[in-house]
Amino acid sequence: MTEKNRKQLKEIVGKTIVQPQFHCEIDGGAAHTSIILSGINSIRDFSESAVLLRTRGFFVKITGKNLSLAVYENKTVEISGKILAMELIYDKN
Amino acid sequence: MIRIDYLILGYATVRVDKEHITAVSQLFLKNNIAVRIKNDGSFAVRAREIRRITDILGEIPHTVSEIKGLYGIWLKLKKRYGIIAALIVTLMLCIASTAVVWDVRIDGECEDADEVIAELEDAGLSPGKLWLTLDKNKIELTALKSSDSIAWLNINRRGNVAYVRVVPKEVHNTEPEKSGYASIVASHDCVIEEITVKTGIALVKPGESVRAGEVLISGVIPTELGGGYCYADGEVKGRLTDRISAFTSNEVIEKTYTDKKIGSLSISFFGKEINIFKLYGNSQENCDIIEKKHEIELLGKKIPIFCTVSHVEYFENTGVTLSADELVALTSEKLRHKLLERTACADLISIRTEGAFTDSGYEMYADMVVRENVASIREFQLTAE
Repeated sequence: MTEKNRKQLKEIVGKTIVQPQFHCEIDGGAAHTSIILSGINSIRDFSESAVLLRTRGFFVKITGKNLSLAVYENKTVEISGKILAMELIYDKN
Repeated sequence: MIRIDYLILGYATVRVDKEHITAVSQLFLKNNIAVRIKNDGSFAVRAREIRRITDILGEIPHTVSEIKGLYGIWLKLKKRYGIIAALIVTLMLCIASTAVVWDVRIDGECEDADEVIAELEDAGLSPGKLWLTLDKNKIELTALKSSDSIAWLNINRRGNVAYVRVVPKEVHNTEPEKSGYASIVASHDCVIEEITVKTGIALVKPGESVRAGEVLISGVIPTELGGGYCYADGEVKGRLTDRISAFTSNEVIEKTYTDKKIGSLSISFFGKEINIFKLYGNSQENCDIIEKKHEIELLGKKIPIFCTVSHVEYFENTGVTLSADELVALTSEKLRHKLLERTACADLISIRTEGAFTDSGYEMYADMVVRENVASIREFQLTAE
């Protein structure tokens, strides 16, 4: 293997980090629900009554009461509390 | 709820303003940090990650509390050697105090509690003894053997006190009264050797031959002796002949072990069973499961840690033809067992044994003369005419 090939191999290996896809798990009942979302690129806004998250291609808006936020490794976020609605808003741009 | 590793290894509470929660959570998401942020903007971080978190937060205003948890307590007390020494000494005293028997108490009702406690002390259980050196089963057996008033004994440990449950012996001096009427009859054809009458009238004498069912001691009192009826009681010994036989077939099924594999391994640790592995199911055919317990002894005492290993030994049932010598030996052994059973409550006077080979095996029989109790109670009722 030449030096050039070795460098190209390193770049290829560097670029093949797998990005987690969007994945949603909902657990709980009416009084308390927990939503775990994977593949979240950024947290746009957070308050006790609403959360706005950005994933690849669309936004996720969750509304409810007494919402709390937990951030996990590998772009995973958990929203728990009394969830009233969850919307997926597609980015027209 | 704080995580158990945070409690042990130490943690601090970082607080940010509510308006900064979005920015803070975005920073943690980008830096792959797992954090649970509460509604008031506070979150817990491990003690060793405080510096990294504060670096990430940068210009965002935040407050960091003092380190909490066990590590936090340790940091506060690090230079207070007296408190640490006191804690260690207290811990050692607590451990040492649980190793000794504090008291021996009798559980339940017992008339001679002091006597029982004295017998237990002789057997080895008394306040001040070490629990580890006590062999509960041995103490129970020794106390039972030496006591005339205890029927059953059980020692239980509750904390540091030994509670002893005692069941006293009940002595019955009088026999229960028999009601109704009965005669004593012969249980076998025999020759009467000895007759002892407690109640009733003897109808036979020693030396007489009787048939099975014949009345030996009558419960009917003749009129010349006062008349009436009674429950006959007495002992009658008779001499009788009997035959026992044994047979062994030519062909027997024998087990031949073909393979042996380890089946399961478990460790018992102070009464708690820990299953390491089990390789066989609950139903296995054509195999024997042999379990061996390996105990550990320390200074001559068995400690409550042992391992149990089981092996699965597979076998095949094969038909085997026995030789003449083997047939005779097996049949003799069977006959010997039957003879022991027959003469358990009888005196053997004479025996003559013979054996013969047949087409299907070997048969042995023994004709014997024994002397035994031939009295059998037969109750009767009076009918009104």
